[in-house]
Amino acid sequence: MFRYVVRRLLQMILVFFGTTFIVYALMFAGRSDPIQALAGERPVSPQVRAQLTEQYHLDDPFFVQYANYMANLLRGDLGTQLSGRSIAGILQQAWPYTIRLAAISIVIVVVFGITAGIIAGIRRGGIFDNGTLALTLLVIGIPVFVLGFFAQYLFGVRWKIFPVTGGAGTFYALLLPAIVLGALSLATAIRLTRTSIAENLRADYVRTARSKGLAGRRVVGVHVLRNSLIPVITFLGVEIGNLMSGAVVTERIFNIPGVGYQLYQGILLQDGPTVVAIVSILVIIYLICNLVVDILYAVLDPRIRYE
Amino acid sequence: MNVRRLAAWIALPAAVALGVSACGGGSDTGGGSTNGGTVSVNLGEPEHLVPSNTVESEGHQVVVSLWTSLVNFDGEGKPVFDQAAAESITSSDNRTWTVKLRDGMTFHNGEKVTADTYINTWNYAAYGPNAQIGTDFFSRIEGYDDLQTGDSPNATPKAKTMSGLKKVSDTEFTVTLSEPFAEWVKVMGYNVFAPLPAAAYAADGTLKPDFENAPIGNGPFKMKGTWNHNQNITVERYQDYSLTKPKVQEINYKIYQSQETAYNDLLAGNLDVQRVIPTSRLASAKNDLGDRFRSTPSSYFGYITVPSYIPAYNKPQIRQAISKAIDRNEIITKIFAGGYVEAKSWVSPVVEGARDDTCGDACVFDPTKAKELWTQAGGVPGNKLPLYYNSDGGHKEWVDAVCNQLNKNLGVQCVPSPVAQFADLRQQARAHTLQGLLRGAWSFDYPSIENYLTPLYATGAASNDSQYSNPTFNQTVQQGDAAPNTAEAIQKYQAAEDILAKDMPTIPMWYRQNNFGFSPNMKTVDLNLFADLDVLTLERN
Amino acid sequence: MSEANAGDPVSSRMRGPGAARRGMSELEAMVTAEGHPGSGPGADNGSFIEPGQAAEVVPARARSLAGDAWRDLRRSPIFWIAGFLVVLLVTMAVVPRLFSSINPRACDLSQSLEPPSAAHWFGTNLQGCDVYSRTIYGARASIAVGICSTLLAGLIAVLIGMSGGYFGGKLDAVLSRVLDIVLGIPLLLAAIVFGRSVAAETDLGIWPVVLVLGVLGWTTAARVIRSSVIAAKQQDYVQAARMLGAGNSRILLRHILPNALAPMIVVLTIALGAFIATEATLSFLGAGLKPPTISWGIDISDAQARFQDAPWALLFPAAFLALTVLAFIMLGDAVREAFDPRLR
Repeated sequence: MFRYVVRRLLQMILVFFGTTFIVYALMFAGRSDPIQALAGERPVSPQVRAQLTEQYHLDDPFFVQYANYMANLLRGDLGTQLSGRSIAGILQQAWPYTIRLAAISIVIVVVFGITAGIIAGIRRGGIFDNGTLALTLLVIGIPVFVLGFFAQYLFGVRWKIFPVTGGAGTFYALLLPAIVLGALSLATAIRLTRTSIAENLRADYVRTARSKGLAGRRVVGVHVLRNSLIPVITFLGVEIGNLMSGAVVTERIFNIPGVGYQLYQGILLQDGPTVVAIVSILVIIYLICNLVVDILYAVLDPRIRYE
Repeated sequence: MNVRRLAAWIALPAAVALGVSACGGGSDTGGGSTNGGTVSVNLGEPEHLVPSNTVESEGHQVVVSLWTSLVNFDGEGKPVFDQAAAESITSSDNRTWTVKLRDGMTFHNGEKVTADTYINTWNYAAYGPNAQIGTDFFSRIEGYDDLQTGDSPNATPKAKTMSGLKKVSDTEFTVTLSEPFAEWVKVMGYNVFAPLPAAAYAADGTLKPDFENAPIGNGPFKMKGTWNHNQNITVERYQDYSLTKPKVQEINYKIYQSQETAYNDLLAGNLDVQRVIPTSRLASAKNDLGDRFRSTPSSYFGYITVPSYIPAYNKPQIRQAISKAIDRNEIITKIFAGGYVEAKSWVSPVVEGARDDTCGDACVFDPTKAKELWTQAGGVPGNKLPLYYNSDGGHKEWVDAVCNQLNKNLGVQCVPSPVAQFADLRQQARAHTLQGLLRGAWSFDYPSIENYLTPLYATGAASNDSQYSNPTFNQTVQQGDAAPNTAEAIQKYQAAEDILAKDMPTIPMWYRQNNFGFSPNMKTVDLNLFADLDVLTLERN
Repeated sequence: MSEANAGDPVSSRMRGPGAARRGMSELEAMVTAEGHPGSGPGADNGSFIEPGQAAEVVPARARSLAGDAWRDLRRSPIFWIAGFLVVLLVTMAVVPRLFSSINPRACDLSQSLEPPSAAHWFGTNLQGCDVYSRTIYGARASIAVGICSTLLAGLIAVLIGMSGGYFGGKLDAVLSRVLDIVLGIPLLLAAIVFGRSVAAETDLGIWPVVLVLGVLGWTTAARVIRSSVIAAKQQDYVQAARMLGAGNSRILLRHILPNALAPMIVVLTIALGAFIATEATLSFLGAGLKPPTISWGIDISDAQARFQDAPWALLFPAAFLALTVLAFIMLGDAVREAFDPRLR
């Protein structure tokens, strides 16, 4: 197991370089005029343009720029935006919001998703099951921005239960955005868990356990649950990263100054360094989550061995 | 089953937590105590807060709170000096201008504002290697070219100071232009001319990079704390301000990513003033806010650019046909809920010398005539008419509407073509690769007709997206620049506008109002021609 | 029979770490494994041979998994309802003229935001277009995006997930790392870059969006398939099949795939709906389908800002989107249950 983990950590380095390269290339390919993007609709004088091009090496060939960027990144220097602001400083302020938002979201998804999935799986065809199906449809069929603005208006403006914006950063301010953000993941987790549980409940070993006289609680809680959780955990492991990178719309609606906003602005303003910096950190998070999930497989299923 | 109990375990504390927090309610935006109180105002994240680097509306709003201009303007765009940093600005030949500063003005850190301050700041802004975005505004000053690097960005400019700036005394200096320009006094009212204290510069003469996180100006408000990026900027009343002090004690500029979210906050009572109500809510704003929804004139002019480098579009009938096929008033009613005004000229009515209807028949909605003109001229290649716009500006609704009208009235296939950013569009226009119409808009930098002419239509001008080039037009405008007084200048500028009416390089669409709203806490809220919130008259109940 | 084990959720009824059982059950395992994992106890023949009893060898008709599944599907009401909906929606997508004679692009601004009436069954949107007609015509782009991107993503997910999970070792490591790399690429970035690089003149319609969604959206499904395959390949029947000389492709196709199918179907049917909704979000962010394409996503995104003034403009396309999602999820459920060996 130890060697496995070490191998994975080494492979992480490869993945890190692979992803940052692709994203950097995408930003570069999509870049037309980041300097003009800075000034918006106002004109940019040739002097300013020349100055900024020089300062940020915008005219250098692709590989030179990439090599420079990666060299700096590995030294910990995330660079500055074209507007002069330090990217590290920006991210330092933005990441806590996104992490908090994603954490609250994933907790909601895990707790409510798995619980509801279990109940729905046990009572297949019942009211609860059909209810969760309806909820799933609602959440999938209604895109996140509709859900978000609607929830904001209903719960923030009309009924005043939650604050309209999540900018305060407190648990309570982030709760509604977290629910909106996690809604789709919640629906998928419920469906996955329900299916898994329903399948496993029909397994022979369950019949055996029951006929042996084990209490239903033990059958489900100890045996069925463990078997059912593998696909769900697989899904959730990836969701943490997805929640962070996909929070663009939610952060916009609830005015949360997190990483999603910076990513969106970075893409729009053709700001390669910012986007790649954010993606680098996201990649590391994905990699760690995947590693944890793979280790969890071994825990849940003793037949899975890593050497 | 333990599952149910598990569910109960979660549901109960969640319900309690919700119940307890529900009592929290909305936030308090600051009492209206005798000291004037705090007002929360919405803002987008500014690019910069150094005045010479600030040319966008959000940074501009903060800059005018922290700095006082040399010259202010009344409701008709005429220069006034009673609350300005200059006592007077005069010139006998429109070439050399004498600026007499008001005595006793200080920066927020106590430094005195002197003639040297202005001269140093302007030289810094004009100096090429400093890469200040607003540097072009200084280009009319004599000696400006010596501060530029020319063709090679690595070269060192010949000089660091402009020969046209001369100190006369601590409170007086002269500005000599390379050519006479009657409107120059108005240009100096733009925020890029605001002075910087010595404390802004590092030892080597460059600006401290941290300066714009806590800028120091000479205006009625000073920074409270630092710029909390993407969150808020708070300014408070400057107690030692020598002119009329503002009525409110503090302004909290809350930064929003989305105008709709800001509007929801306004409705919920968490925001006091929203400077721009989003188009989608204009219709309901009157219901939601009643008389707390206001519209005041602004300098914004919206138009559609016609590419002059595509031969088919150069036939005047084509341009007239497009213009006559658009029912501007219907779009204004249905999409903008009446918050805009139809444009029949190329100059906003808020400036002196603007005329109501220079476009004439070409801007009158007449679908039959439009179709005739269109067929006469032979239409456009492929019968396809792309209309380009930047998708991040909230323009989709009216662009779709215009295309629908053109489809219906001209039988053409008008394709709304969104592009992620305006910067791309401008680049394509300059490279002559844009193959259709392009949306455009302009707000003045200073209240003069000239500002609607030169930057948009002069040959090679930076915002000339149509690539229009007419030597007669250039000459006429220059004659206006050189005119001995404003009245004669205006005559020339009007003649130039008439040339535009004939050539139609752009198709006028509408003038926008300042459509803003505020909460019941506010007594006086006003937005001026620059679309700035007037921070001096702002008052709570 | 076996005790509960920490195994996969979808393996066949034969379980166990392989240690405890001997005798009949093992024979049973070998016999039924070679047949198909779909038959259970109470399936017709040969499953239980009591010692001492003359074996009743009744040669049965050879049955395939697909045959069994189809029989079950035919009997399931959910399948018929879902199937009907899907056929209806696909017809709507292919021949919209059957459902609406109004031109969806004939928009009259003077009739902006009118509530549903006899002239406009679903009312009109902000531009004055008939919402009913736009919803019908929008089915084409939206369903096409949904189906094509799901097929693309599903194909990639199956290939990568199964190869990695089954063959393990270096291949699995490489494929998993490829998956990690793709995970890291932001969807929005790819959508904007792809959209921009496609010149405005060429109307490639849905393909940039389909490509982006498919190429970036296979990761979750792949991981789920991979985990199922890893668990399935440990099963005894797989060992048995291999012992009996079955090659890799046979094992993969006939034994592993059917058992790994269930969670994959769940994920993909949800993904289909999610892809259609993601197209709406991309439109909202300005990076999605472009006019003159009509889609539910574009309509939902446009109608969102004026939702309070004209809820019908948003609710109808959203309802159709939800209906499509429902149809595919139900269909997926029905197919999954038909292929499930334990539903007897």
